[in-house]
Amino acid sequence: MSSEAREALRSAVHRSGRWLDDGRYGDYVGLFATDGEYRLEAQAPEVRRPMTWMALDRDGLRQLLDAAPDHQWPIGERTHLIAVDSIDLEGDAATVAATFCVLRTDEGGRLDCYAAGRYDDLWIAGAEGWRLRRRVATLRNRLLAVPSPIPL
Amino acid sequence: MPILSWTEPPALPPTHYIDNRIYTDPEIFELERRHIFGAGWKLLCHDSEIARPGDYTTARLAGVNLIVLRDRDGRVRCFFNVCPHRGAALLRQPAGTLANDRIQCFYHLWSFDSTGRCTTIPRAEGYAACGLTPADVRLREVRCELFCGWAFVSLDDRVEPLADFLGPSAVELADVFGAAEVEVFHLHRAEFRANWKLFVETNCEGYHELLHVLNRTTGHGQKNYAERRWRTHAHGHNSFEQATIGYDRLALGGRDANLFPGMRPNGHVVVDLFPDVMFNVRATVGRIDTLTPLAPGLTVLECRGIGLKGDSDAVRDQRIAQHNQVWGPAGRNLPEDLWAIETQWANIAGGAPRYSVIAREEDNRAMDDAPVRNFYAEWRRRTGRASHDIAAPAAAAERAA
Repeated sequence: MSSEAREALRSAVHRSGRWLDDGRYGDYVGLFATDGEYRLEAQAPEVRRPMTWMALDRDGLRQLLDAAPDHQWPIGERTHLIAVDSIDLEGDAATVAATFCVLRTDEGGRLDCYAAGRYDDLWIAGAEGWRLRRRVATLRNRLLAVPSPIPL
Repeated sequence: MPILSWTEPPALPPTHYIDNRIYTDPEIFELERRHIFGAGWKLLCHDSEIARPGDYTTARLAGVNLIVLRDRDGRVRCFFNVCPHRGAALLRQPAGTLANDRIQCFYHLWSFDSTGRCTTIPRAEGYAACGLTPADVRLREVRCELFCGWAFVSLDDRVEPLADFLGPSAVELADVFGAAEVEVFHLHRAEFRANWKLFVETNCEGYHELLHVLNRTTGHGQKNYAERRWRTHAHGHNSFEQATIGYDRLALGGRDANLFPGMRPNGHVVVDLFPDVMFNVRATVGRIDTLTPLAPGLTVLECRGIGLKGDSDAVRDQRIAQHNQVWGPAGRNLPEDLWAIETQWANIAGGAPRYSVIAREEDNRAMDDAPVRNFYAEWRRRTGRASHDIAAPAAAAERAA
């Protein structure tokens, strides 16, 4: 069971990136539990405390992503590279730490590293499989190219 | 001949169009560096970022690396972040706190205190022959004044007093930022491939709001929204009078509690300061933009989010959430502004179109280009160049105006 769970979690973490890259936003939101939340955090030495750049519950996430086609957001083609660092199982819950890098290919075909950081996830097992109760994406870069509200 | 052609200057008053080479020309960029960023006032940070004695932050202005710090007596000062000995960097972290009131150059260990006084020259006897002692050495201090907690600096020792530079904008800023202490809770930087003035233009004309779904939905449907007026001031400053925003139209929730001083529920005001600062308050939360031009086509935007000092955790969380709905790297509007001007830049840098039009006149209402023209009047005064033809002196445009 433990190795199956680990494989399922590893796969779910990778799917979360791939579904964002493929624009399958409904499927991405479906990875979150009904009480799930997503946070994007960053550090700025000048502010001297962690900063929250996005904090949305599942409905807020769905609302933002549903509105994406109406906006002019330069997301380009995105590619998540994700390495799962650790999975700690405890009953129906699992804490997962992963490192991510989001590459972005612009209209001209140029590829740049847009963002890199770390996921600290809390996954819950339910009838429909593992669901995200909380994802905290913490960025390691502070100077961004033209940004985008699409989750990392 | 039509008013706009691809071959001739627009058939418009020279104040109503731009020679697009002002964005791309390296000589103009150098003029701006010396006469605008190197000679005027520039907002660098807020004093909440350097709250305690010894706290410092660093910045770059007109190519010069600077330290802004709170000295041991609590005074905010600005110095070149440059060792007077051989030019090495003094403080190499973007921000921090001095240990033991000491700034030490890591190259030859010359040391200074937070007032700029040189305290140590290692193996000082080596200078005995030439007579150099610590008393002969100081950090290069830069003019620095605070207004409502904002630290403005100038590299020009002869610059006019800050209050004179701000003029009527000071009153408008004090209405929002002077009645209560504010503090910075958010700072991010975005590097974009475009000239800095293209971003300034987005901050001083309401016409581009048509780009934003958020503004089209929450602003333009509001009664009298388009009737709000710009006020244009001396020195190229502009302000956009308060209007009411319909955040509920995007299910973003109302903003009717924990208001900034002077703000109405769901109110929105903008104060632009020449050359690069935008103060933007949306009822409960503020955003302050500043720019660092790196090259004609490369700029760093620095955005700060502002709350009220003493906020409870719950209130601060609410302000941060409302800030992030619109602003910040994950907000809805900034990506659209930056993408728009990057496409402008890509075309302008290629030589087409040769001119841009800033000819809207609506009695200073929301979509009037008057604030952009006001910005360029000051730009011409400082650079001595005409904005409609970079080969002409500024006087040509002023005479025509």
